[in-house]
Amino acid sequence: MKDSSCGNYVPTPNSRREFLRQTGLGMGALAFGTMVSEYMVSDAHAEVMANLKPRKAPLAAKAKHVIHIFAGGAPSHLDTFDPKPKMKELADMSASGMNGVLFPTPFEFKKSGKSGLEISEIFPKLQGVADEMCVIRSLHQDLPAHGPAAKLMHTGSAILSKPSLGAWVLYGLGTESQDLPGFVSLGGSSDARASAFLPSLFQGANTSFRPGAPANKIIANLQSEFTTQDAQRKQLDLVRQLNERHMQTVQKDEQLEARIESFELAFRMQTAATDAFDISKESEKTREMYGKSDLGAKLLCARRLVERGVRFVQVDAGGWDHHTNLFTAIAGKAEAIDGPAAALIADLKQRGLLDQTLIIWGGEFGRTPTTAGRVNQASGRDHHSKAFCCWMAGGGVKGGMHYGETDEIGSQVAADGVDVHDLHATILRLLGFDHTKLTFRYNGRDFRLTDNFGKVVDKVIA
Amino acid sequence: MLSLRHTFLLLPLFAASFAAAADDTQPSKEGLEFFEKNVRPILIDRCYECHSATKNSSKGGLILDSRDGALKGGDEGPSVVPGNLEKSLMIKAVRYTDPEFAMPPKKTGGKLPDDKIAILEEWVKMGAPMPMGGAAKLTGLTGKAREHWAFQPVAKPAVPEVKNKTWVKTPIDAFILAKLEEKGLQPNPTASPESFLRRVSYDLIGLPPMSEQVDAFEKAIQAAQVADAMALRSGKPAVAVEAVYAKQVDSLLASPHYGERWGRHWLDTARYSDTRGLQVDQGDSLFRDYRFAYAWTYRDYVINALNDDKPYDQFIVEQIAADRIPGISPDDPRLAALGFLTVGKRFDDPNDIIDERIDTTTKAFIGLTVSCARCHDHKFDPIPIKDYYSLHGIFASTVEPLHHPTIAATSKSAAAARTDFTKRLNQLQDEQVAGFFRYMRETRARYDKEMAGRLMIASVRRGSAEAGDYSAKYKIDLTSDIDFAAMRIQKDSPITGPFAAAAAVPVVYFAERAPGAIEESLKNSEHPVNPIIAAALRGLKPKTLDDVAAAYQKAYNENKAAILAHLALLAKAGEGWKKTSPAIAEMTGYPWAIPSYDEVFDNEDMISLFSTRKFCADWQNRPIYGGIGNREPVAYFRHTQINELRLSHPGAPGEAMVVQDSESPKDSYVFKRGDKNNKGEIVPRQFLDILSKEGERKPYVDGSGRYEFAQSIATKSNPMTARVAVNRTWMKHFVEGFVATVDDLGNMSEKPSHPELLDYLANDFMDNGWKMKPLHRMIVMSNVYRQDSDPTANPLVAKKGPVDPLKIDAGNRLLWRGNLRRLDFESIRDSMILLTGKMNPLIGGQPANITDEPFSYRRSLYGYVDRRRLSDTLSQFDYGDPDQANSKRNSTIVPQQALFFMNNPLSVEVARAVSARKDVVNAISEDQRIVAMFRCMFQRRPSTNEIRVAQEFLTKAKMSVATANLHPSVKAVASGAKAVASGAKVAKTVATTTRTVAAGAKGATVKAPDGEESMMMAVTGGGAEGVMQNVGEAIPRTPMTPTELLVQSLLLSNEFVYVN
Repeated sequence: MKDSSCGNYVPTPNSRREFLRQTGLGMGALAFGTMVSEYMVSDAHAEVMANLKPRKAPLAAKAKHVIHIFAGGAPSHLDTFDPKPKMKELADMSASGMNGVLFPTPFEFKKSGKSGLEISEIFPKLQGVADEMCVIRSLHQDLPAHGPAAKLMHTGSAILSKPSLGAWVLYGLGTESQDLPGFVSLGGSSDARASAFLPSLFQGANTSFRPGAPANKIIANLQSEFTTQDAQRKQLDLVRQLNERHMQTVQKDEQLEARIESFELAFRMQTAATDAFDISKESEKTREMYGKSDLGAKLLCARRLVERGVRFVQVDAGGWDHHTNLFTAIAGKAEAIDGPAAALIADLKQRGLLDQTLIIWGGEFGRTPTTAGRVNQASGRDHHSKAFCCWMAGGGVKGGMHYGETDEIGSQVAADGVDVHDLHATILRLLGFDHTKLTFRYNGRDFRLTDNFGKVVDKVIA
Repeated sequence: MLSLRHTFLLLPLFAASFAAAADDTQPSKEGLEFFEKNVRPILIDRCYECHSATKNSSKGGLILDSRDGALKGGDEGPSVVPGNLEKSLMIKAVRYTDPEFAMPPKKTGGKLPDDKIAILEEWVKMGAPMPMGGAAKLTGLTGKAREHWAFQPVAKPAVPEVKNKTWVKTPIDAFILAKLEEKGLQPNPTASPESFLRRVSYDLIGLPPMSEQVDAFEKAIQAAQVADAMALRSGKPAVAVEAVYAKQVDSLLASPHYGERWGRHWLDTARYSDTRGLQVDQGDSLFRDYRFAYAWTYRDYVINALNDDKPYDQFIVEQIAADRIPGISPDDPRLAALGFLTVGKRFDDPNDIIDERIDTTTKAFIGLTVSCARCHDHKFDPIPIKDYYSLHGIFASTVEPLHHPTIAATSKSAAAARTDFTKRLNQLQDEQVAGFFRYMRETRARYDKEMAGRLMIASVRRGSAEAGDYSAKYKIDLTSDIDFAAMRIQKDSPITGPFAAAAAVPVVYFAERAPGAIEESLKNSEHPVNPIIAAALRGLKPKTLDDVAAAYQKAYNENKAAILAHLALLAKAGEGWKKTSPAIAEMTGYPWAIPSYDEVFDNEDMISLFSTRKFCADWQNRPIYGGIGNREPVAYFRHTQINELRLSHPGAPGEAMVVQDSESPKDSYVFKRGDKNNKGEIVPRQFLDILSKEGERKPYVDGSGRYEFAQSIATKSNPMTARVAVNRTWMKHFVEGFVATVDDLGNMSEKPSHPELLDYLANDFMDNGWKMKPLHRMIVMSNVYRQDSDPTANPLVAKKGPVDPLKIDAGNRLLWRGNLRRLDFESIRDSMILLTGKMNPLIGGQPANITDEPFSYRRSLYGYVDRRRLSDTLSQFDYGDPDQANSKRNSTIVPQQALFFMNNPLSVEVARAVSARKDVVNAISEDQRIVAMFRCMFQRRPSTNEIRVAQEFLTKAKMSVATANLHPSVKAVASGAKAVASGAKVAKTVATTTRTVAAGAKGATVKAPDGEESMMMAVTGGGAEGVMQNVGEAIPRTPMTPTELLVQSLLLSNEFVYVN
């Protein structure tokens, strides 16, 4: 680095070659990497490889994996995890500065678990795992439009092209998975898996996962439609011989070795990914537990991926834009995620993986406490970004608690506000990073996920 | 709190200047003790998170870890005024008296306890003792920052003397060698002719030489070596070999592929894309498609400019201000250059678009990150926020006309294609107008029927409980028509005037006073009430406002036929509608003014109408939007299909994506902290101070100032322009530039590896009339460029002496050897396309899908680039991010790349095509067949050992294929696939125009109405994915033969994708 005093966290100062030597070339090492050219400008012109080698986070932390369930469309906080009992009496009254009339939630909240965390009745199964959940009720940001707000949630920037949360995590931690991508995206927008200026090594692998879909439909080019794996094995053996000869005649370069390794990984991935995405290999009991819906299958698949060492799984679970017919629509959405999410928490816990796996559920903003006209069956809520909520579980998060408060009608944050950068800073801290130090130099600047904002919410960390 | 554009993460900058403090007396020891003991802990605990140079954070421009910082203060002024509590903003903030100006903020714990506030007050009263020193502000506005090398004039260094004079062929060699000799290093030997040819071919045209060309080149070199030997013997200079090299280089530079190769590099810098980047459901994009139909005319301009070796200074001026070039004709092809400004990403806020343009322009041409000064003075470079808004004024005074000029040079498509295009365009426009009026008719019929209820709802506060009551009473759904503002209940309205008068009467007196109020309003001579409405209301004795509304309803009911008849006339070409009685026309124009057929037939006219202020005022809640979430009206329009037709129809004329100066150019205000609602002073439109000669900076006066701005850049006296261009060109030949961060040569960049050579070349470049080709020629004809890349070939490495180049310069910044490099995506794919034997030689034209089946055989730079959703293949191969200027690509290796080579059908097609080559098929032996393959794939002969392992592979593969079990998925596909011959012609198929209805909605595939055969080569759409699809056949899913598997193995090998 140009300036050692800036305290930047450089994940792997040792060269990849050294790493290969340590691990034994070709023995399942994660050997593909990138030449991050801007590192080459150091005084010694030392080459620093950014790679996917698993590495320890600089700070003590429990979380090693992340499953981010993105509830796009902006779920209402008032009907899910932020109870407003006093609003009941205010139905149909107007609120200053707001259009429409106050619309108390039609749902009952229940104090759940030992902790008494309040959760809406539309999540009966999550109520059962409330003691694992930490609800943040005081999220807020300034952009009540889906596109920019979702981009902000995924990348920390509403406008600029920036790396996604998952890309930063992969950059920071590398991956333990020997034969799968370290960051897998199960649907969703490209913002959610973007690597932007980070090397594409760190971008989320785009998959179109559906239970029972052929592997090639899930990951592009995953399998050959023209020959057998056996023939491909022979091809790779030949290629290795050719490459060895080639390497004798040219400049020695880690990239050459890395590229050889990438073919071996790709070859293994053909089988491994096919297997990881095949949820039919799970027991009937487990499949029942997650439910046989698409979302159940997705979360089950996420668990299979995490189990195999994948660092970050991005799950798209959107459809929460309830401008109308909130009564029925949000109940339906909640039912679809309730069982699978509760199953995911319980399943990870019984497998001893919950502690090291951080689950995050939430959308890009919340909904208005008001509705147009009188409250009736057709009522809905509009966009509202000044207050919303999310929940986290596992990964060293304090369970059975909520953090932050909104005012009596859930319109504004009343205490302990958490903006999106704060949330990102907290997630990084749970993974063992000081968010101000996980930086990447690009165009002469050190960038970080939280730009120059972000404050860790220490109280949610166990 | 969220700034929409970046504020960069800050580095501690201890060496910044010390601002002159108002009070510079040395603090007393006791004072300092008080500070350290009592004040510092408060600052650390509650302030430094946001206001500390060492914490890299200076919110509001304020830092509090130095006395100068506290005294100087932030954007709001001095934070601490020693001894003066009232003037010290810090005290004001911590007292929490003004909620708008209270610190620390609520979310970080809120107000300080009273005892802490008292400590701070005490400290200020003491004169704010604090250790001296430390920076007052993170800022680039310092003398030191101004002294940065890149801001100094380009020097004219003399070519240095070297010891090894025979090695020097060009001045470049002398500069490089001088540095090597200084370090005791020696250059590498020359690479083999075949290596050189592969290297220079990829470098200059992005394609490998074919084996025949390698043969010819090697033969010519051999012959020349003989000639040179003879010449030397007879005492003449040996020039023959160099002449062969020079001829080869000149022929590559003369190839039209040169412009394609280097054009693509420039398109990275220019963040080229074929789409706007906006979400479909945002802003005006219901009326404007998310695609640019004509971005490609800019791409073609770039290719042509490079092929013509257009002087770079002209290249700059044309891209910024072609429209202002004196005497330029309205259809001059140079106008397409303005795409540089317009193919960028679009945002809802025009200030974000302006910022995007400032960012791209300054990075591309002068290597500075001026955008960093949007919210505050640049933290590292001498660019004050005022300078940013000087440029802001230029771009804010620049507008995009809706009608683009058709540019002559691209309008040569066949007459039949043109006729077909025009026919289809008119058809779509006709459909669009018909759809528009059908929609208006349906909407009007519904609204007119609900006139009474709508008036009542509009008379109460939006979204109120009363509105809810009326909604129930009149059975009008509030949620589908959120906004009733269009009803405009106003006393001066010819329609609603009397209703407004009645609505103003208090309910308790209504029956008593309303008739009078109505009567009074009917007498309004200044804004006469519509006669039909007046007649309906005259003498009315309403008991409630509902009775008045009912009278309106009755009037509209009774005139329904006449209103619809008028609408029908408006929907026809011509002026028949003018015959309608003014009263009916006025009623038809409420609540929305309706344009006539002629006004909206032309697609751009319709968009224009929807964009004008008057129209928007009339159509407060445009029925076309129909309320949030209602996408249904879009189905009546054809903007998307029209744009798609222009993008993909071969008969579509090329249009230039121009800009023009606005009619009244204006200087911009400084937006404090980048906030447009927080205006500071007005600054003139002018160039950056740091790049202007002292005393010579003058405000721009010609229109927006764009032309003058362009000239300020494209001038020899600008120290950045030539350096930036030369540095970038050098990078593309040697992997790294003299300065590695090629888009930023400011204070944050590294010192150049060879500053003298950079300046020498920059000077030479300008002296050569800013021409690129001589620069390339000098570079690739140098001995430096011709070096072998193998480090072990270096004499010093071989010697294993005390001087080890691998230790002294492992990164090869001094260029003691060539650099091994991996091909970029375009070169890889273009090589593959070349090997299929089907490469389409056409230069320029509309974009194609370059990643998906059915494949296009156009070169990769003609690929359709969707910045909203970049193809996975592109992003996996380090394609540049099309959202921002980015001249340098990463070189990443991910397994998905390997999967592409192993399993993508294009790889299979290459294997099949090479296996079917004559020299492979007709080879007299298996050995010869292998030789032919190697020559084709690697431009070299295989070694004996390679022939042996290849033979072994063939033997094994034959056995394996004979007993093959395909993947189950393969079988399924293979059995379902049509068996078509390899190399099937691009088939003509029925056009499938799809349209993207809305984000998330599934695009409907609609057959062209006439069912005719399409002339289109590609169709776009495909719903939310927005993928452009080529028309043609997929690669047959039949098992590969052993020979094909062997060829594919060569494709998988490192040698295929590396250039040494």
